Amino acid sequence: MTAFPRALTARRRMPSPVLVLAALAVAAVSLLPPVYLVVRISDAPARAIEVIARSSTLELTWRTLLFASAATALAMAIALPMAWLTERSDLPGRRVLRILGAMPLAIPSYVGAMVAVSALGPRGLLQQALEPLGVDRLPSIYGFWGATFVLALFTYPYLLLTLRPALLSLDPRLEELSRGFGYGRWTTFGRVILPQLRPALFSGGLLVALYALSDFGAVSLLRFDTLTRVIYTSYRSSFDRTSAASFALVLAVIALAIVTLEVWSRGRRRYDAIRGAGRQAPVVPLGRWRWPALAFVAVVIAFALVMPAGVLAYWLVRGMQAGEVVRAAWSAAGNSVLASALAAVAAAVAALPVAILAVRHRDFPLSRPIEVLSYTGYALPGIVVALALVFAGINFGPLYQSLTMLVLAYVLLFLPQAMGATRVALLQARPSMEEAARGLGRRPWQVLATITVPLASRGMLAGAALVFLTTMKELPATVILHPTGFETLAMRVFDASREAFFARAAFPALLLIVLSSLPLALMQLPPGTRLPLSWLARLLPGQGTPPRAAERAEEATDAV
Amino acid sequence: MRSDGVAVRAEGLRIAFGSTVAVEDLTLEVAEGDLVALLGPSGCGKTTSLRLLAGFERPDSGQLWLHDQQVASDGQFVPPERRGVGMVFQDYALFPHMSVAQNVAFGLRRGDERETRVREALVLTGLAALGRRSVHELSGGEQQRVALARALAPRPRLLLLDEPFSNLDLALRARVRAEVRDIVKRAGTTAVLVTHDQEEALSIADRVGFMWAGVVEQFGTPDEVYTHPATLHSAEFIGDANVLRLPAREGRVETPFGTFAAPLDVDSVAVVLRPEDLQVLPGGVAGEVTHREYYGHDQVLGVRLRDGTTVRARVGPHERLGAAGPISLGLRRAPLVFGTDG
Repeated sequence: MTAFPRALTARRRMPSPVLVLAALAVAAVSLLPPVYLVVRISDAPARAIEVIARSSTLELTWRTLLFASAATALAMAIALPMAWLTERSDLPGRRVLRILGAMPLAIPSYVGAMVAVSALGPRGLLQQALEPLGVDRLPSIYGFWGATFVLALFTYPYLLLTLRPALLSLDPRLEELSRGFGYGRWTTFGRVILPQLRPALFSGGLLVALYALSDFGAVSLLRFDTLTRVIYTSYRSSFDRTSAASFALVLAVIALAIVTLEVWSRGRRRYDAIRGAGRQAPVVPLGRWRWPALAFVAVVIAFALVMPAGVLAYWLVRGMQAGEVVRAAWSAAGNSVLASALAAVAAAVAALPVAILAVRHRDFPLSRPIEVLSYTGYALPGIVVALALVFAGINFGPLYQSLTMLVLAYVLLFLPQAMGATRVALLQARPSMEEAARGLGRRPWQVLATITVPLASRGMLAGAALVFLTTMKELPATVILHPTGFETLAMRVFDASREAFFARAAFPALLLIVLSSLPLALMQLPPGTRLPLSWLARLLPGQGTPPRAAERAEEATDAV
Repeated sequence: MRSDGVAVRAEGLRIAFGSTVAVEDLTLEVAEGDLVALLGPSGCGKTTSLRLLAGFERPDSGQLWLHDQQVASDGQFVPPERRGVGMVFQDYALFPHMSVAQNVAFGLRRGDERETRVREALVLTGLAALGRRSVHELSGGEQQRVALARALAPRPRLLLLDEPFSNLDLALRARVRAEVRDIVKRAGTTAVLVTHDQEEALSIADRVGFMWAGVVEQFGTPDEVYTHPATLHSAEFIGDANVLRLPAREGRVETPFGTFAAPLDVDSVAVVLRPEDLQVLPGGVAGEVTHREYYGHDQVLGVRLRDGTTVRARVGPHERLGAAGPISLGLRRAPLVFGTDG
């Protein structure tokens, strides 16, 4: 008889103990932040309850929720028509607009906020320009609406990228069927297209909502108090650890609730089961809506892309004329690149054992719990992870305010991005390939080295690139955990714009945008992909989930 | 320790996944150089049996020898990489990041002989011109030959093929089948292939193992398995069969075609009549033709006999019969009778 209980030998061979240990280690570290928060709060439970139950806390929570919902709704209102117009209609210049529309992804929300304040704020560029005309007051950019607009403007690409593949994979026969039953375009859109887009809309919306919840830079510059901002101020100003931890717990619970809601909304319904007719949906002529539609897309791109680029360029020139020191940005850039590269490599390596377990050993009883745990950082806002690590770091002495701890925070936050990409790649590499290699005389670790890793390498690389890009832009965890004297580009941009030294912020901001989009450009494209950005959509967390991945695997099977 | 000339000896191999028993009893002996087909309906455990032979699954009990090496028994298990077994997967499992030649070379140790062996395997499978190609550029039939070349290159002692023709379209299948048999025979390798297609099994295998519900119910030459099925399952699955379920008394069963011997200890039997064992016989059992399928090389008649029994009879293409009308049938040979009690 076998040495293992039957349940473990079921279906596939046992995972090797080394693999399981590695994955368990990753899961244990992922569990650190939430566990530490709970432990921290249970030290002074009465005080924590008092903080959480305060009416001001409830109001703050409500305001945060409202802000996240409004930003998500607005981002949907921008992304849905834009995705449809650039993919399915005869919009003039749609090929170029398709690329331009996704580009604001490279602009961090705090750079967007800085641009908005300097251009549209009091004594901003717009007001200066309008002053001769007698306009001395513009509607305030600060507060709820300003924050909502800026957030939506710089996060809608997440939705655009998740909606795009969904729109392209729609089965045109269903639309024809609906039209054949006598329903018009609008009814067909509402009854046939929209329901099919729902999963993409929800998973993209989830990304925007989580972004809004965890955003620190933009809400700070736009002076709008959300939970994240209040956590930071109460941590910095009063060193009141318990109230900071209590707010963090509330924020973590909200984020987890939103993720749960999204998973639940996906439910058991399947959208991928029936394959399309294998042809592209026809282009819809816009007719007299052509120019209004183009105007809409142009306005979005003007605000989300042209304005930031123009304003940054303006301040850069102004700064250089005024003799602003550009040199100092290079060391910050070096720090950013170093920390991001370390985080990218560490995340890719940490993701591999978890992804192998999840894809190759699905029936191993620990695989699923480990995978779920590794997604913890996906839901937790950066400020929460940072606080937990601060609390933990004080106990672990030497790690506190070290580069190691900063990188650890990045890995915790962005591991799911590396996971998603690696998972998809592993799903494409069918298990029979690994068995074929074993049958041809290779030992399990040789199979890993010659088949599994090479096949997953493109996905691992893509995942690492994505982690790099996200880490470059990360602000809240960086602000709290950076080693003394270790200044990154993100911090420099934020600090300078907080003091309204826009000329000083311009160069690092531009450098940040260029450096973080570099890995995307360098990334080799898989065969058959048109754009790096459309591929990126697949790598975003939530996109590496089985249905889409299975579809990719199926495509790969067709191709081989 | 085992006799020469035996490539595979499996004794009572059993494996369960959770509470599902996939293979109940895999017992068979494959002679060296033979091409054996494991045949059975889907879910009968034939692919799992193949994976047991390859070492991708570890049996819960039973013993397995490949040539004179014991590779599985209680407490002993030789992993797939040390079995010297070549495998061709249903989906071919070609490595997409390698060329055709690199795929074929994968199982070979580095050395002078490697190049030569790759070339030999490519020539054997008719792929000599395609070595530098990427596997993405090949047709289905070519991919299959690459998988075969890759499996054969290390000169395996045993070649395993899992539904090797199921991904090919029908027109291609018969030709590729003959090609593969030819290649395997020229390589001189013992081979076991798994299929649910009886025509495939009967036409290319030296021996056929019929599997049902995780058990090898019969193992023999194609004509043995077809003409003397050991069980009702195999009679029904392999080939076309009229099955008449009738009561038996004292070792006899009465059929419209006469009385035949039945097992002594049963009350009910299944009488199996192959359609081609029925013939048009003036003065035989009278009936009505109810429909007719004309195939060219022969035709199949649906006939309702006097007592209401319906049978299918395969007759020559020259019988001039309408799609309806009277007919009388007789038997060419005695039917098979299986007891069906309990």
